[in-house]
Amino acid sequence: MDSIINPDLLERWSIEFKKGFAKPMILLSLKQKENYPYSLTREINAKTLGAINIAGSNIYPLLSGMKKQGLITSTKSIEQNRTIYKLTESGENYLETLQKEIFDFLTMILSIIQEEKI
Amino acid sequence: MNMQEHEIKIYLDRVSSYLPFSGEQKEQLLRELRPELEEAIETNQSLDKTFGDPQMTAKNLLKTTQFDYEFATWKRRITAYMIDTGIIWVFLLIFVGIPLYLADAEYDLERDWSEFNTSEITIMILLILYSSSIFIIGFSYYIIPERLYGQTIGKRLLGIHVMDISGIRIGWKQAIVRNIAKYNTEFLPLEFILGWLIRKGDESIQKATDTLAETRVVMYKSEMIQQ
Repeated sequence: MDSIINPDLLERWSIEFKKGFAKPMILLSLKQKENYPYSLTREINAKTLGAINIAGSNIYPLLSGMKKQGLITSTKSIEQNRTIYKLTESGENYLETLQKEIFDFLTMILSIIQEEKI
Repeated sequence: MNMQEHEIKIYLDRVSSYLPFSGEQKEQLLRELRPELEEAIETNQSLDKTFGDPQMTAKNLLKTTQFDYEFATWKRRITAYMIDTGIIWVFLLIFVGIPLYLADAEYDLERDWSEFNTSEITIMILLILYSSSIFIIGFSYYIIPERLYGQTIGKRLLGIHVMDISGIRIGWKQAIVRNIAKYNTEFLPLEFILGWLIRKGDESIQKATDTLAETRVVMYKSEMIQQ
């Protein structure tokens, strides 16, 4: 007898695997242009059509962590009293490698899914 | 001040109430948060929805800073508790104990009930209500300052603070939970023993209610530095 699957289960799993793409998306966005934290969340939300929705303040520890790792840097805009973030050179090199890693991984996953469908 | 400005101010005040340290130290964090909120509010949705719960925002902001602390020693905590207990008892003596004593002298409260007239009964009822406030006063002495400032008078004198495990100031629910056993001071030694049993092996010996409320009693070793 089939057990009843919790209807929230798909949403929870979905949130879990999408969460892993938040940091790569931040780096990809900053590669195109430097940006402020909240603007970054809006841009990522728009680009992914809401699939990756980083709540306003949740981006701060992510940016702080990546800054500590040397992937991004920040400068304070005195006129606007805001902190603006941009990719460092190391961050750009890292992103290039990361993009290939993600691409290879997703290609493999998609091929497995397509095999199952046939 | 228009509606949006008002909402931003309320949100900032709520975040500020959870950030530790003095107003000056957290001023920079809040100044940088403001333009972010000004952008978020343009979506015409509440800031709680677009930016998140103020308590969560405070936690996230604190993660971008660095400050050192160590767990408060048993000696400091017990000394602070004794100071606070002394203050409460002096207050109660002056505002409850003495009035009750005088009322007894005036009205001889041990007489038979049938001997009291209406005004005397009224006064007795008022005194009963007044002395019932002992519980509220005693409890509030701990809950309100710990929520608002992270310290009671005793803790301030000993340089120790109550904080959430994330480092932010505690919420109302946490303030109530961690002080619940103070209703009966005989529970306090049991609280510490239970806390030790729960956290055995952990360097931070906390009361059981601290573990339950996810709070810590600490001494700050450094200022808060933005990373």
